[in-house]
Amino acid sequence: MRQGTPHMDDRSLRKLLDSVLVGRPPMGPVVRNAVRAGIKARRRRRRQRMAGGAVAVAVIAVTVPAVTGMLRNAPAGPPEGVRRAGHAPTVYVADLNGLGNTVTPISTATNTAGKPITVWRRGGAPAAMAITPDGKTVYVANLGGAEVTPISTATKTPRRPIKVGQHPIAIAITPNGKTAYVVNSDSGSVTPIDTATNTAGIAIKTGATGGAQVVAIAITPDGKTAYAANGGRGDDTVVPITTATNTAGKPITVQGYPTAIAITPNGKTAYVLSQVATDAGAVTPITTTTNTAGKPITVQGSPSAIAITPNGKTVYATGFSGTVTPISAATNTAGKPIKTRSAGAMAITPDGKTIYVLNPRSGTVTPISTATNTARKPIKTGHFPFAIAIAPDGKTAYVINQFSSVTPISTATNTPGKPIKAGNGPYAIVIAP
Amino acid sequence: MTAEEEFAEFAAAAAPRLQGMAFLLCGDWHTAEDLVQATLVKVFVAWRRIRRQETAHAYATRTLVNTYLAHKRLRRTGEIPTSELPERPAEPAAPEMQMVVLAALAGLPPKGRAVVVLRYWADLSVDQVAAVLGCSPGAVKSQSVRALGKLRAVLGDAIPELRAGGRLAGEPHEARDAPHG
Repeated sequence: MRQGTPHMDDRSLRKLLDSVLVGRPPMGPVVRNAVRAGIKARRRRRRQRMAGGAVAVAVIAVTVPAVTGMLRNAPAGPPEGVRRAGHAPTVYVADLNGLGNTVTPISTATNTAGKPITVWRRGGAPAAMAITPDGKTVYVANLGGAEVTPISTATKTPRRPIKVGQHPIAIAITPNGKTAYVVNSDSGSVTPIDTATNTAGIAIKTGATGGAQVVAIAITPDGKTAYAANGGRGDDTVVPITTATNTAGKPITVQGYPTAIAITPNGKTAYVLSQVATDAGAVTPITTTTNTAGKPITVQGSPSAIAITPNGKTVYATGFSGTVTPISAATNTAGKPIKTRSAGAMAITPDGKTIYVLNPRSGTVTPISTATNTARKPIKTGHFPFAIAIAPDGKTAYVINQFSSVTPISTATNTPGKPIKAGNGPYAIVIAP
Repeated sequence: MTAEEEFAEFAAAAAPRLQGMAFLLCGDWHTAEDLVQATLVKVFVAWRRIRRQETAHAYATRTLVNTYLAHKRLRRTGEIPTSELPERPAEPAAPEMQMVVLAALAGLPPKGRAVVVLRYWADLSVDQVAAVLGCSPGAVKSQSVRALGKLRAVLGDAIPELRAGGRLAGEPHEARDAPHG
């Protein structure tokens, strides 16, 4: 018997695991694809080495944070902003496949991909991105490399990577744009980055047990408090961080393990989505003035994402079994769940009228009217859509089909456009105004 | 043989094992294929460095597990453990059992699940698992104990004949008090 293991019969466990694999489907041409993609990645790497850095491209610098598909962080919608005539926003798509070290810009004017920006020298996993409210800098977290790389949106060039804690998986930026908070999932801490100097401050410990996994973060609209969710290793807490002093307050216990947070536009309530059982979740409202948790609201399905309408009236939580639960923020009660096909990430249009809910399993997006809470006809996307961002003008939703392409969807007609090839394996998305 | 042919040969041989491992990790054949694909691209890019076969297998395993963990950490992709299982074979293997095992696996935290798959399905030693996950052997052991305890809690109840078979049914405290050796 192996040391330190319980009396589990290894062979019977192996047999059990094998039994799950019965009926495995034949795989696609993975070897051929790998050779093709690998050759391309190598060529690109060689070209980049030869070019010796990126070329400067003049672009806009305007003021609106985009609605991102990473709804764990996103407050309701973008504040009103002005877009300069003649300038189109840029979609940034992080590439997790191949070398996993590039971010590809897509011009929303033409829906074509530009030259990939190499954000770190070696491979990695650009897992999360956030953009400063002035739209000048995109921060990209390298999940594999414990660093964050800022990209200047004006020149589309990377700056020097900033060292952070282990496995950074989420970033949130204060509304005044001065500090980016990076969630170090495996260090159980949050690193503040001064965006003026791009230097990291001292990491703020958020795990009660020293090594808890932090999975999400959200900042109140007044910028005074950041809420970090400890979702791993049985901590099941949300820790408020005072941004003025960068100190962690007393952890707030929530039901189940938290996976995402959204804060109402008035800043009064933080809604924490957590997984309670394999196929059940809960949303716990936290009163931000007292940092106390209210009664958890049960939601159906393995929880995926949470979002709040710009008017702050309704909180939506998605569950992977295909339910979207609307919750009235006034009464904190759940309404009738809306059926979709599998319900993953979602995004709300800036006018708050429509939510787009991704159905990863069926390759579709379901638009839901927030007025009536009814689902419209699903829109076909590519394989496994799993991240979405809506352009600041609300006219186009960009859907990431994991590891394959980006599908633009016209929100006026709810029709998909031609898929855009952006890097080897698109994964995360953010839109710079 | 060119490096490319060599890679193709390696990849063809390694793919089924990677596919199985990926499925046990993510519980979904589509995602499993994506994981294998992503892994093989990374292996191809690094091929010249790692072409010695044993290193290549270890590298591929590590890449697969890390890609899965990176993917899991995002939680955006999640999974649906039991609602839509892949097409089943005409053969016996009781589908309920598949579902129960998948659900039990889905109840584990990503790292715990990786430990179970690597140790008990891929037959890696504690030290090898530690190398793949980049943690200490002690951490692998404690993860195993916790994960197995959890699996036992689910599977022991759900599959009576296994319980009758003996050790799977052990009470949780037995897991902790198990004699070392």
